[in-house]
Amino acid sequence: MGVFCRSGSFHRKFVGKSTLHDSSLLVTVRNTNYIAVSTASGLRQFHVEFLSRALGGKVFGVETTTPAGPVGQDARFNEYVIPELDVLYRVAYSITRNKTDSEDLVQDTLLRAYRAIDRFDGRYPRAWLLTIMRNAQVNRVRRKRPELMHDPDETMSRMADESAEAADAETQLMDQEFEAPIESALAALPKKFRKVVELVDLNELSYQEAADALGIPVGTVMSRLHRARRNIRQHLEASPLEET
Amino acid sequence: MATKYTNCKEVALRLQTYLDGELDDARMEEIRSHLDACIDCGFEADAFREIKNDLGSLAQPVDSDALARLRDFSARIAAEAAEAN
Ligand SMILES: [Zn+2]
Repeated sequence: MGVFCRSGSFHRKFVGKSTLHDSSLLVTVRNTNYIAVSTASGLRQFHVEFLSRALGGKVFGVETTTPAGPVGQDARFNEYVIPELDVLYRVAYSITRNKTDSEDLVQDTLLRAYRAIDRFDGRYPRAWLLTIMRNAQVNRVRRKRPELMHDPDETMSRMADESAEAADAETQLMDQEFEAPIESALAALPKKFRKVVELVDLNELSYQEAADALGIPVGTVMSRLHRARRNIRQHLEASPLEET
Repeated sequence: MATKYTNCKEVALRLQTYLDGELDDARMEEIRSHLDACIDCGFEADAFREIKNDLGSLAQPVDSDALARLRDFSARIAAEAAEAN
């Protein structure tokens, strides 16, 4: 007797829409018994082994890729992309500093991700999405400012910086009285340093994820981040003590 | 005897990476035990930890309307793809 496992194709039928982002395994034993197992992404192998043990080592065929076609594509999209919406929006805001632009950028990223999801291997979905977002942003900037397309990296940060400038001035004016020292220390950083701090310390990205989002090497993320924090520390130590 | 990273200079070099949890397990452990034993490095670690925590507290909650719109948008992508097929 053998057991054949497939993932994905029966999501809707067995798991229901609310847990679509979990992948499930459908186990067929002699074409009659069905067991649907919901797993977190990346744990499929464990569950297959677990099932194999539970069934006395009788699992012989495992198909871990979700079948192509709209159902599989949706399942993968729900599994890998939807849980990252929040992070994508945060990072987009960090990069564009503008709500409308962030939403546009995330939409663009979602479209690209949907089209590419069949080719995605399922590892590090956040890093994969941030790379897509980075490419989307480079493209958007290029479309808006064809005259600046010689250096997309430079162009991107310049664009972001220009829109940031106005927003920052306004925010600073409004918040000056109530601003916490840590806030003014962050605001005082040069933009390329501030951006890394925002991604890692405010939005809790890993070094690698921040590198993917900004299109810079991990080593650069580290050196900018560490320098930024030393800078913040100096800024805090230099500010007068608050009266209590 | 001292391991590779138990010297204060080495710890200073890797302190922030340590606080970000981005070192491998063995190095994390070496620095952790140095910080427990060394007052100066422990003080440094506290200072940077506090800065990191304060920065974390500046994170703004994501605009829930925007997030809802993005969820709708995601559902529409799938629906439109299904129609096209
Ligand atoms: Zn020390």
